[in-house]
Amino acid sequence: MKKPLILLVSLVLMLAVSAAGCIDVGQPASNRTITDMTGAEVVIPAEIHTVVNLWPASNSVMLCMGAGDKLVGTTAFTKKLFWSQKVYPGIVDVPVATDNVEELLTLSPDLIITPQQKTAETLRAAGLPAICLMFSDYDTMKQAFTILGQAFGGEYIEKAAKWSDLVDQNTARVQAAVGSIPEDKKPVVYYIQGQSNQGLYATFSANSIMEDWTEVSGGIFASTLLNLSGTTASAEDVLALNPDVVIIGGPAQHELYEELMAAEEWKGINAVKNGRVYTNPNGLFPWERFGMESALQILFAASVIHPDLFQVDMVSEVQDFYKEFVGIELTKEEAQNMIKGYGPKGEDYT
Amino acid sequence: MRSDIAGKISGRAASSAKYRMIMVCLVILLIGIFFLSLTVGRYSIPFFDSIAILLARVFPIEPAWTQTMEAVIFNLRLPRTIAAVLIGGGLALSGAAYQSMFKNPLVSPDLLGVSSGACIGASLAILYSMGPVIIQIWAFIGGIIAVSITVAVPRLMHNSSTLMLVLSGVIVGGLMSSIMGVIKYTADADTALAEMVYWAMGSLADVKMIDLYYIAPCILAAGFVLLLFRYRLNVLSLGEEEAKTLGVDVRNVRRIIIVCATLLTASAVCLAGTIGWVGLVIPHLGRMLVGPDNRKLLPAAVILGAVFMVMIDITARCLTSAELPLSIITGLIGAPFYFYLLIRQRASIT
Amino acid sequence: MKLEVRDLGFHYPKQERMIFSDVSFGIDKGEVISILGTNGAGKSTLLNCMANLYRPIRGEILIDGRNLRDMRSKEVAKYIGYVPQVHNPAYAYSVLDFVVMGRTPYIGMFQTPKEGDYSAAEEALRCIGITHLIDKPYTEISGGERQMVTIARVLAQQPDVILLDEPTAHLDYGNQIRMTRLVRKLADSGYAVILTTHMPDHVIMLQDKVGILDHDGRFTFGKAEDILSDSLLSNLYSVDLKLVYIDEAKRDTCVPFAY
Repeated sequence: MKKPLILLVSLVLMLAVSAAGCIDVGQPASNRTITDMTGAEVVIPAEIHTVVNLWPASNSVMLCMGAGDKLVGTTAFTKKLFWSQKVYPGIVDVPVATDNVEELLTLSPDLIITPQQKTAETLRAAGLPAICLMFSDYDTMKQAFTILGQAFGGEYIEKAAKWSDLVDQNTARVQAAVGSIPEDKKPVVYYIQGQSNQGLYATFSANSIMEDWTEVSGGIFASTLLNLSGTTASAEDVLALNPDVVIIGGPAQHELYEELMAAEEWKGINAVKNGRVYTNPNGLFPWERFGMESALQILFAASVIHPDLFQVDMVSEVQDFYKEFVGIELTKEEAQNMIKGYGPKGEDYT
Repeated sequence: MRSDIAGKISGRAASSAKYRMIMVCLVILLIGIFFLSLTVGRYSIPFFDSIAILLARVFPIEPAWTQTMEAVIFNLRLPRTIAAVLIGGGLALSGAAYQSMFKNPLVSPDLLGVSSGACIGASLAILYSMGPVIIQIWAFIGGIIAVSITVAVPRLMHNSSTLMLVLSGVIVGGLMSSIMGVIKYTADADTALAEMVYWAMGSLADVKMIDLYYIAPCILAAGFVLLLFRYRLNVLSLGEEEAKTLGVDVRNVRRIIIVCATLLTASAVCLAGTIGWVGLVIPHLGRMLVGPDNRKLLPAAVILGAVFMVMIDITARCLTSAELPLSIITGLIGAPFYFYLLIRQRASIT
Repeated sequence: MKLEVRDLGFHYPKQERMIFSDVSFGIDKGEVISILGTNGAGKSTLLNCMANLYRPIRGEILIDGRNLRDMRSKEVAKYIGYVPQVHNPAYAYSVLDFVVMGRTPYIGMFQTPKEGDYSAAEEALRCIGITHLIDKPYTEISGGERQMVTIARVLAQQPDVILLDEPTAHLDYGNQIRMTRLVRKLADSGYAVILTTHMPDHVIMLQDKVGILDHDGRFTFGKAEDILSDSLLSNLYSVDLKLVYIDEAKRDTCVPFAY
């Protein structure tokens, strides 16, 4: 009579013990804490092997640092860039990630990077290691890249520091040549944003990285003059400024260049009359925006805004940069293609 | 006996004379505001220079102005103004036609879902990174498809009454909104989504003359046909059954009106995004000025709509440096104005 | 026979119950037929079939020997005019503009009324005696006046047959009498008039034919003096009714008795 009872109890105990063994306690060997751009303290694993990155700019930074193989979730924009495919061919197999909590829990990456504070908070609340890495000008970029370097550890900490130094060095070089130009002699620089073809009046707001590199390079940013807080300018306002230089960036730059040169209302504008309409280099990310190549943008911008005061061998600067940070050798042709806004083999985005 | 009727006839002649005067004033107003639109803008052109530029197209005048000024007037302002005239007139005409056909002064041209459908078409094009021309084409097709669905439902239900058509429009409109939600959700928040929202809010900033070459014939043809049916619309506004007993082929006339109104509205939307209130409010204003008789109302509504739209466009592009979306201005002006009209008419609303 | 109805039967789509069946009668110019029945018997439905608004399930309607089914709306409208029981105006057309819409069957698809159409409209208003209303918005006149204006519209249509759906339903007592006299006058002017009513007295006043539609859908037709009787009316309305001859009026009147 007691035997069946003992059998039952031991059966239950066995089940309990084995079930306990199956329970994932979820505590990795060792953790550490980092602070993200919003000041939140986030617990992340000691070593980061898998990353889901929800922001195109940040993806390009990871590829630029040579950390592309850590990506298990990326963005569509990143995948379509020809330079992404050259630097990290495996990018074509990395799936496009969403901020769907359940999917991410299944994927269970070591780190999730997002530009939105709200997303980071939601994901953290679900127990995911998410950090917000929003950056919008050189200072915040230095901070953000430092945090990224810390997260990946080892050589990445060095690379982040080197990048900050490079920005300072390039700024100093350029300022040496153009720093003393009086305000009234500075050319008005109008920037056309060409992530996709949204017309000639898609630009960027004042108080942005575009304003930064323009001013460092001795120019006056058009959006600053217009007090523009949005990203679309009024056609007549822009024409009234009579810009001296036009810089067109992004994958749609060549299409937009043709459009601008064909537009009747631009024919009488200084930049067109004097042949000072330029396309912007476009590598792992459009240089003029928030990728790591923005360190090179300072040099490029100065060379087109004040070609008589500042000259630079852009090809060798690109080759050095890629050797140092990405870890690959670029041929002269590939570098020239990037500077002209094409893919490594001269591919066009449009 | 005949003499007291002869005296009564003069009531009709007097109101005809009054109508002629009103129309003459409206046409003069339209011409005036058309030229105003060409001469004002954020790119300042001295008034006499702009007159000279316009006259120079007809008379030989020595250019004392810059090429940019001329291009601003003919390449930037002229296409927008013509588009505003076509769109304002077209939307007002569709609105007036629907208000008669559905025997309901609270109806707008979007009743059968053409704007929602056009939005979906455009948003899909934006989602797949299509250029501006494709976006327009898909917007147009989207509008046509939406109305086709709305019109097919009553046939499936074997109930072709006006009420069924309206209900169908409500259902299809709701469906379109949900589909729109899905599209917006899938879109990249930084680029595609912003573009979709901006497109939907309405803008004439990107209208070029070449767009008008394709779309103007469509608007003019559809508008002309609607005007041909002005008397039948009067009879339709008595109600479907009475119209039938008076010998109107209700089914076919309705079909033609719907096709024309849909073409008008789809054309307007594909040029400039969604613009609300014009089709609802302008017919009311027209009725206050010239009465509900469509023989008088439709032409008046066309001119009033055109004048209104040109004024809105001038406001949109001159008020602030960032161009205000059209539907916001039409809403801010339209809704209180509608309220004002209703107060004026409160006596006759039961 | 100007208008002839043969073996007409109707039920609503997807329903089984016949509203009426085997309805047959004919009318000539100058005649009046009153269709008498209870609420919901199907009088308006029968009238709507004759107005070409509903399609009958069985039987046919012939105008001047031609089947209504084979004619287009525009043609039917030149023969048959219809005055609905109630008209809810949406827009404030003037009385003249409203009446001239009766000329629509004669106005081309893309055309507008001409002087001749306006003359016909004015003539119709004169006929009814309401020319003083000619320029008023028809939303600002009384219900009774609007009814008269609608009849004027039908007259402007110059049909052979006039159909009226319960023309006295919304009128005061005096206007009811005047309306009944107007119907008689229209018939005397040469129109074939068919109206629906549920006032036996009006049928008697019109001194012509009557069709009784009961709630089983049966139709009895003949001269009023032959058909109307105490028992028929009492059965029809399920109330004790008696026809009493009034010497001063020189006619019968229908009176309920014994509460």
